[in-house]
Amino acid sequence: MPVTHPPLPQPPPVSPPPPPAVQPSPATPVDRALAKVNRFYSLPVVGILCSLWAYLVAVGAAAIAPRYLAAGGARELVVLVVPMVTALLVVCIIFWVYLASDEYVRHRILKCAALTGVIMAFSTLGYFCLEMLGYARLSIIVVNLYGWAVFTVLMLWVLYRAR
Amino acid sequence: MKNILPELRAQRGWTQGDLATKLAVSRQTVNAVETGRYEPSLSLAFAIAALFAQPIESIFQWQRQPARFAGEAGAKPG
Repeated sequence: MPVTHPPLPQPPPVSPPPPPAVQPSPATPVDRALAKVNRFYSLPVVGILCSLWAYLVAVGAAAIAPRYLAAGGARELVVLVVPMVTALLVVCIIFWVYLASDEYVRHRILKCAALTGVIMAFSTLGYFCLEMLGYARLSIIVVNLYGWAVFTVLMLWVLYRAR
Repeated sequence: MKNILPELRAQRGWTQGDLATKLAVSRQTVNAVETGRYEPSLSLAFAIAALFAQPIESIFQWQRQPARFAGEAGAKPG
């Protein structure tokens, strides 16, 4: 009597492995450079840079307005109101970035503000000594712009590291 | 304050970015906590403990620092 063997268990059909996920990688060096730029220019960075640009334009307009505008409401608006409004815009955007950040970035932003204060204190003290030695006296707007520049550079560095 | 966050993360095969996404913080924050440059807030410590399903004190080992000022050493409560 012939012996019949039970059929051997067949291995389950092997489905072909899924194709590897294609990572979108920039092809050319120019594309790679643009990708890096886009990573840096996040919304908070663009907001800070744009508001600071508006503030600088407003301060510049306020500086030259007395030469070109007659005394009156328009000149007072350009000299007094517009710089204050744009400065308020910068403060609001930085505060928005602060609120939108996590606790460590907030901690770093506060350190930036403290460091800016220290840098300003030493800078103004140093220039005061230079004034005693005969250097020209500076307008307080120079100190203001210098302080904003220092704080902005420190802030952008924090945002760049936290991206 | 020491922590075993890198070990716990490595056990699960997570990157710092993965952990940051799960905790809703930046990768920089995870890096700073892991390297001991930043001590997390109580809420973040609770979130980390809940994510790894371990008590806070098993993840973070607190060590008493010596008093920096003379007044702290002899201070009495109340």
